[in-house]
Amino acid sequence: MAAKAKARTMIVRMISTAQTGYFYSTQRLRQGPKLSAVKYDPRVKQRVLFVESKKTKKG
Amino acid sequence: MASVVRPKTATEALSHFRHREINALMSHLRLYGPLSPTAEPVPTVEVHTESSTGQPSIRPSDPILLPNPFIPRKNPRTGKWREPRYSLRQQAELVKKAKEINNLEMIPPGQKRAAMELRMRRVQASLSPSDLAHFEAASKAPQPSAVLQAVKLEKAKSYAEKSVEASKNRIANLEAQITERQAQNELDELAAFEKDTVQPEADRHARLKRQKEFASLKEEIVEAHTAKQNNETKFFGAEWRLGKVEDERALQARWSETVWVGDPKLKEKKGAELGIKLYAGKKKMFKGHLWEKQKVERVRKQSMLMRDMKLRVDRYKSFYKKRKPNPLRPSRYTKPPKLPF
Repeated sequence: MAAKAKARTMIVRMISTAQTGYFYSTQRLRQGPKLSAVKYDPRVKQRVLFVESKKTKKG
Repeated sequence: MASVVRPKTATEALSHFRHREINALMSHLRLYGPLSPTAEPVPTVEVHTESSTGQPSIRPSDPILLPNPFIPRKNPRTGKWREPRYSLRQQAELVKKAKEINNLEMIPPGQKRAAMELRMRRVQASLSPSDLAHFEAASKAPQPSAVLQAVKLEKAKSYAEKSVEASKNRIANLEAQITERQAQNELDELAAFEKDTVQPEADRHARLKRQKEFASLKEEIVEAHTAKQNNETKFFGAEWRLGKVEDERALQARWSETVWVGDPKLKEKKGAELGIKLYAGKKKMFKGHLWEKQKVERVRKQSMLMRDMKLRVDRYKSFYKKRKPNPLRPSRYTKPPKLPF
């Protein structure tokens, strides 16, 4: 049997740059660029920059 | 089938402990040298010389000096530590036995005895006045076993003495009877030997009867001797046991003044008297949650980051706006115009 083919998309975590520990989870293309966005952080109650982290899954 | 060992009573166990410690004194002196009591005032042991032999003797009133078996000791020659002669479990058992007969002073000082005394103090403090009276009466209970034992042995001894006397009297009586009949018995034996040879006997029946009685007397006297020996054995046995009991009582009386050499080093636990050991002797009862303690640092960092967050967001949003094409340098990604040649 052939090896399992890698998926087209992957789940990523976007972590707050305010270092509150809050994050969002989204999808992106496996070959695509790293995600970043300005999103709401409830810990500081403002919109802040969120940047994708290297680790996507826990552990 | 293995023999069943009867569990020791409190007095038996403590007596065994006493004898064990006294026997261990010599080996202790051999290993660790002479006993040196601590700074506590110790009654000096006055050594008196006997006039007859010139040997030193210790009066019965002097206290016994023994090493405390509940503490570890360092061998001065090898420098190695030896564990206490009794484990903590064994110490606790001894303390329980001493508590049963209401005499904790018998046991050397140690952490188990201290814990028991503390518990008793706390119990006493918690009792109402009527209950307290009962408690105090119970804790001063007398020790009847040794007294009863002595009484029993005295009775046994006197009974044995009387039996011996009776045996002696019986033997004397029988011996007197034998000496009385000795002469007649000899004549009878001679007649029996000469029977039907010289002349027939007139009182053969009487002779046989007399001989039978004499033989039975002989048997009786043997029995009486045996009985006397048994009674004497019983008497000496009772005397010896009584002597042992008296010695034991004398030792018991002296034991309460025993000086145990060696500091048990009891750790003072704060709040032990109150019974609340959790936060005793501590400034703060609860240090606080970890997130509370880390909050200050976290808030400081976040405020630094948030201070220039607006600038960061603006820079991010205007990233592509900045990237305008340079008029002097056309974009590489546009194809050059196709020429017809």
